[in-house]
Amino acid sequence: MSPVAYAKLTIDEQSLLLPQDRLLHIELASNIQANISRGNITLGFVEFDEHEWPVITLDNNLMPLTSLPEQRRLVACIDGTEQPLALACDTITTLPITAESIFEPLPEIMRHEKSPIEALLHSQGILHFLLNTDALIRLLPHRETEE
Amino acid sequence: MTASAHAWILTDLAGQRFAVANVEMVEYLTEAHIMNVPLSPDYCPAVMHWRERLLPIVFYHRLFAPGAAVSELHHIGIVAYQRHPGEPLLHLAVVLSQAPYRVVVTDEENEALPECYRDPVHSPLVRAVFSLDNAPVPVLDVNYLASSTLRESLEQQVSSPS
Repeated sequence: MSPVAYAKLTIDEQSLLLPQDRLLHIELASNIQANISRGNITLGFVEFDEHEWPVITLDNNLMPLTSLPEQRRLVACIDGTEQPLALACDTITTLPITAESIFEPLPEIMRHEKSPIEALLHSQGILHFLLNTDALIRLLPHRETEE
Repeated sequence: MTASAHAWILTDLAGQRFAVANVEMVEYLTEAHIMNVPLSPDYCPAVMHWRERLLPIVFYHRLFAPGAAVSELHHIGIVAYQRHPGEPLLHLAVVLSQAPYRVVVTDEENEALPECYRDPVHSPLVRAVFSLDNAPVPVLDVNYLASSTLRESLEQQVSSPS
């Protein structure tokens, strides 16, 4: 059964959606602890459920950033199947899904192994992106090596 | 006996002409609200709302000149394609520099591939070539244009130029 609400994470002008049950915990960005051993796109970690959750953030083009912009005030701990992931974002709210809300798969012409966008939702004049968290996780080490 | 068929002539933002089959041209629009999609290819960076759907928008001239400038969108062609026989039609928006127009093509018209298509990445875009005003006009394989194969091939071409 499809979720009836999605967690909406904003990053600059982008609206990223996650099924509500994939958002496990929200932390303040001020609680990010530095960890120099993780590589330059991992900004540090937050502690939750007795684990360290590596924190990353993205820019408006969904490319990893190496420093945390001031407006990224919240950190979302995401239930990824491959490894823990925490994404720093500007705001976290809930987007209710109605019968008129139809997700459309990302068109084939736009698909790419590096894109964490799984589907598109155009709702109330805004284009939202449904995140594939596993793709986001797979993207990160690869991009780290490109730095 | 010589057979003939109609084709639509489309002109990209660089003034380059190409054609699609008569049945592939679905609609012509003079405005569109486009929305960027991050991490999309340079030649297809956005989607637009059309008939309760989101269509990818192709800036065709960027297939040959990545990063080329774009002007305001006043001419947009909606073209249809089909992945496999019997499957539902899919659609794509193509940004044009002028309104499309229809011509008659005969099967006797068979021109050489235009220069810019003579590489392994771009040549599959062309299903046939005919002459119009003494210039070759390629007929597009829209299915290939809309495929991830083209994007991957273009990226490989950029990363390992011959």
